[in-house]
Amino acid sequence: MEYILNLTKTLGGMILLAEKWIKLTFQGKTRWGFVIDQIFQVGVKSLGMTLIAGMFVGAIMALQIDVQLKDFGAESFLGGLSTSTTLRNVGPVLIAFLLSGKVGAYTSAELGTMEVTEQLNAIRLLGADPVEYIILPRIWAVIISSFLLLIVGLMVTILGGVLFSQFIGVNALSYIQNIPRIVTGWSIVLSVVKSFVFGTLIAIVSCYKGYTARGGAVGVGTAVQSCAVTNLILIIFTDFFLSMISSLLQELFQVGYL
Amino acid sequence: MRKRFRLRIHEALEQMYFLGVQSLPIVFISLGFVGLMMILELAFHMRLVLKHDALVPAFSAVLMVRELGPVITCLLLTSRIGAGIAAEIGTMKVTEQLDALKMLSIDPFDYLVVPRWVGSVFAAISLTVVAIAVSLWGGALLAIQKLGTSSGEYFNTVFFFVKFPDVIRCLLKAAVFGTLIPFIASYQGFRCGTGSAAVGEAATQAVVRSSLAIIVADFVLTYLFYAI
Amino acid sequence: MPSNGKGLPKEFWVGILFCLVVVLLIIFGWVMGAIGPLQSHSRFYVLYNFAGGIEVGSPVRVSGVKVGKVSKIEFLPETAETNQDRVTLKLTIDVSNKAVPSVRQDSRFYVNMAGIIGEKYIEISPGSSNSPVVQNGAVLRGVDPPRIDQLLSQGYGVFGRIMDFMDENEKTLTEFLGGMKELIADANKLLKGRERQKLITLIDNLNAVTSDMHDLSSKIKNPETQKFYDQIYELVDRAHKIDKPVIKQFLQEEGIRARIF
Repeated sequence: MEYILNLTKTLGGMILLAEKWIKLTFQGKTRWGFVIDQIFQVGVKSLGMTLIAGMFVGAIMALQIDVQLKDFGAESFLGGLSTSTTLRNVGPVLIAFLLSGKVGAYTSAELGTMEVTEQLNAIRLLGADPVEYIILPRIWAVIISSFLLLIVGLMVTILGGVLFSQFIGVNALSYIQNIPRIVTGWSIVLSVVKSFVFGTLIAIVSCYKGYTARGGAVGVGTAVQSCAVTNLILIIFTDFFLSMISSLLQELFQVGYL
Repeated sequence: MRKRFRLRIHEALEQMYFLGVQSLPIVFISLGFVGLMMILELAFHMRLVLKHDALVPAFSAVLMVRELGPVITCLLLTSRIGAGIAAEIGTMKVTEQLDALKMLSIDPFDYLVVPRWVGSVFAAISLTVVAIAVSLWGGALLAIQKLGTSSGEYFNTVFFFVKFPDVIRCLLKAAVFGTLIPFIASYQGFRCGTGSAAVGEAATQAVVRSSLAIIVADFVLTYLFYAI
Repeated sequence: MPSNGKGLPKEFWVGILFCLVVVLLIIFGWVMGAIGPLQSHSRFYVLYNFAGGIEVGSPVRVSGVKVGKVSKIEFLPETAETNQDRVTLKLTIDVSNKAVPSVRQDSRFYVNMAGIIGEKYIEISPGSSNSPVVQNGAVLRGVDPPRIDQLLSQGYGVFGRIMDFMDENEKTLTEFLGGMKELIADANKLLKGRERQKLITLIDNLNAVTSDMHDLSSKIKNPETQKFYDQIYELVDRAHKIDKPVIKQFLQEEGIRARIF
């Protein structure tokens, strides 16, 4: 019961934060200088990790799908199927998991530290709104950098798949030529939409969790942990619902098939 | 000697409870949704490639058992315990509790890491088994609802393609991941600097490094199990 | 969820989780066929020359119901022979005891293929009730499935020969076909063109001629004509006798002196 109460409280708090974020953005109070600064802090430093993760996710999916297709005797679809599966759901989910660990935990740890070292209180004492000064640029920075990192990561998964297919003896050229036979424009749109939504989720959750951290070093640790968990659950939920919506739209309008 | 051993059993049980039992609801809900999602997505792909839905349950189940079941479960576990372990040990270091332990001639590795390791491996294996069961069951719901396969047909196809050695390999994967998480996290905790910023940094690094390690280890294990 | 701190609940919940996992694993193992209830199977040996894609673990069905699986496939040494013929494969199958009464000495062991995934299985047809029940450990002869690959390769041979023939005689065939085509075209022109009316007239005339002929022949057949015939015959008979001396005599009698012949 306590669990559900906590969950509802968290959800409500995040929706309030999102509302404030949108309102402040429309009032034109975003400080884009800070945003750029934060994008460098959050985004560029996570690039290496994203590249490694993307490579391995692509390679894992190519290997796994190859093994499975051998069972079904349909190896000629390897390139298209593994790329499409990676782009449409496995890739965004796994890379968003890692980003929520990196970006989300970083942001929530930083904000949590600011909270417990009373830096946010200092800003409040100066008569300024900490949401406007500290959180708004961070939300934008995390959204933009997660989105960009996810896109980069997805590109790298394709590269990883190609490299690995070459390694296990599938002709890389036929692998690449097979990709456009399965990967439709709709799939790419879906993966971009998913990337954007996941980026937004990571931003809101980690800022909320960091902002509400209490109680010293332990509190920061708890904030990081509950931020990562909430992120993961929300990512899986939204991934499912976006896939569901996409499949409903496809059935309604008959788009996205070859 | 006897006293210390009992103490560690108790600690390990504590960790098993915290990591295993308390993660159950999260794993239950998340992996159920992953099972649904895989059916949905593969239905789309199979319609493109094979023009019929008969192989969707089999394909999805094989992917779940061999790959996504252990990986997603252990990533969830990482985010739940990786940051926690690093933050806990980091905090103990910051508040000088580690030094206190050493003064009581208790080895912090024995006292802190081993119980967490036992708990984490136990949690990883048991949660993965639960995860597979839940995702197959969730997939069955959606397959029956959306693709119109009967439940008997669903489980027949699934268990024709998913063999028991796959389950064993998947549990091996889970055990490896379960080992990686506490070791990486407590390493990050032990080398944590001073102050709450350092604790946050350690927690972040723990989550990131163990997630990355899980992905890399998954690749290596999949290659060892299936490609050779 | 129990709140922590009461001592017992934690052990209890960990134990519950452990039991759940063990039960789930046993269910997985059971459903996936890795472990089965002990000692409820009978073991038969089925001999084949060709197993048609059966693998270890392929299901065994009696009357279409899954009752067991193939547990082992062995290649027999050259010397192994049954009373009928030499066989090369020995399949060990485990059949659930509840299905064993249906397997009689005259049951037949087919290799079948089911479903869209092409799953191969061994189908055991239930034998007749007066035949004895097969005992545990019996060795039976299976029905070899048709060698679809061989049929195909023979078919390929026939088609190959037809193809060769066509290739060799390509020119002749082409000419033949061309000639046929011209012939048909000419006939077509004849039937469709200006000649058509003439053709119709011709056919009409022919028709008239035949009907006249018909009348004639029917007239010839009546009795008067018969008499006429007889007379003509007599006449001819008499005329036959008229030869050179007779004519001479006749002429001389008439006083005509003619130098004939």
